[in-house]
Amino acid sequence: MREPVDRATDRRGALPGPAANAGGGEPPLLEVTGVAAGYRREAVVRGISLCVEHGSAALVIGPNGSGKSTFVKAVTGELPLLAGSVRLRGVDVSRWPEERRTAAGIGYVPQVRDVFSGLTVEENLEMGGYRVPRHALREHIGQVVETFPTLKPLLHRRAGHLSGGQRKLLGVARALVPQPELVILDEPTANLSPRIASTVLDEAVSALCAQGRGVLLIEQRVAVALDRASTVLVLVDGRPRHSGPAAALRGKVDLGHLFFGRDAAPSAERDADPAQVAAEP
Amino acid sequence: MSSVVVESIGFGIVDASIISIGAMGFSLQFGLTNVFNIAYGTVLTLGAFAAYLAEQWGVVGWYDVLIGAGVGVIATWLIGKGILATFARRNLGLFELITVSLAVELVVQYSVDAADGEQLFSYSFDQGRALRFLGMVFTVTEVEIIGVAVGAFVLLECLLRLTRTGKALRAVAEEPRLARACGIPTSRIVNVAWVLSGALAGVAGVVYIINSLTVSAFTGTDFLPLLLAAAILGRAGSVTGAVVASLAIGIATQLVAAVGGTGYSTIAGFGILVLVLLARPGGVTSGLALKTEVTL
Repeated sequence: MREPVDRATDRRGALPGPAANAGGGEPPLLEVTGVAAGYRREAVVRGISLCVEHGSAALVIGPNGSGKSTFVKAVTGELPLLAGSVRLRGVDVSRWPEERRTAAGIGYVPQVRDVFSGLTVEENLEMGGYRVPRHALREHIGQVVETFPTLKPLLHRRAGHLSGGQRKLLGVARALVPQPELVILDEPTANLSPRIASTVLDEAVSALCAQGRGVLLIEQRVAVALDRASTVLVLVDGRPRHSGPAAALRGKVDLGHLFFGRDAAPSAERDADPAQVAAEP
Repeated sequence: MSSVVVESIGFGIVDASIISIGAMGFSLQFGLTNVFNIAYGTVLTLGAFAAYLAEQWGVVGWYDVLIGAGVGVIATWLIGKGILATFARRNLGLFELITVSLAVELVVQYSVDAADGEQLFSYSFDQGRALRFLGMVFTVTEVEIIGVAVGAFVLLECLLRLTRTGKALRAVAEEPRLARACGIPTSRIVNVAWVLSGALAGVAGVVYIINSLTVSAFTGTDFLPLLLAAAILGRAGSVTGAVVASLAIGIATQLVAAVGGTGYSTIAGFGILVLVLLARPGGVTSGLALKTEVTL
């Protein structure tokens, strides 16, 4: 549906395309290093590092109140960083406002209030593409509707009248209209039935990765999300408890152990890549 | 239906037209900024005074509407982007900002009152001949006032439904955070709302003076309660709702005035508001009540 990378347009301007990095190794799509963020200058999360590559999904999990959404807000620019850096394709965007990060290629689907309920589905998509040049907007919307055919017969329906699953797909579709390279999904399956949740993850995460985009996925449904992710970061009390390949955790996730146990990570994981394990004391 | 009732409905439609122009502006401003700006009444007063001064300088007729709109934009910009935004940057909450806007309203109102020697000023405007329509009686000027209100409503609805800026206005009013995540320049969109609402407040002030032919420092303050009632009753943030509610309040106040005397007319407007709040307490402000973010 898209050309994944070459859309770093002149209008966005600030980010070099992949060719600019041809001389050396291409930097990760998203590189978060030692990030601390919070409210009123008090850190809620700290010491978080994470990478997202093109065509892959990084999963962030953790119990309620672990700081997952705060972390996401730090990446999108809704919250200022208290420490660390956020780099998009090698460019430090840590001090960029949210709107500029959006223009630079970050698409964001919040956990709640992810669509404009009073606007129609089509108007929601138009708002998602607010920064897309007018002459290209129809084409972009058409491509998104092709990706999410569920939305096609609903274009003139008010978003407030959609079902939970349709609404979530619209939230993802809205974020895709400007064709972002990185899509951040904050608990996209919250309040959805298991079947609909699986559909949303399939239609959203898997499809996005197949298109070459990077996905930063925040999820509570760990088992199904692990199947779609390549790396995983476990947050507990605002700090990283474990990070590493998702494959190592598939099928053997004990959340009680992972979130609250003294031993931060399964021993197999430590053995596999001890350098990536960030255990809490 | 008795002729008194029919005629009262006619008067009510004229009143509703004036209320609706102001209520549309207030509703738009509140929807975008989330600030219940009581100083909006001051803008209405200044718009009416602009028309009065224009007449003194020889500018007569409907040109005054343009002058009032311009004065309304400037006054609203100064209040919103100058005063309220300054306090908002100091992290004042919604209630404190309402108090600030009340203070602005009172300071301007009593300053104007002191400056003009506490007078009631007369304004002259040819009302034209009387026209009869379905038993109702309108002057030519009243028909024109209705036309201004209808025109303002149609233009605003076209802007909100058909243009990208208008859709962004609706989007920011509903979900400012999501709008920012979409890359919508929310500050610029809120500025559009300040300009539009200021223009509408100014125009409301001018059509008020054209209809009543008098203006004082308290014109806007006296008119503000009905305007706020219409905006709230019409689900604050909804332009169409503001117009429908204005119609209900305008007609109700005139009917009550016809039956019980003009002293009771304003009470009728609030009576409707109280009844609707009792019947549908959550339905009046819709989702806006959930919004806590101030966007100035």
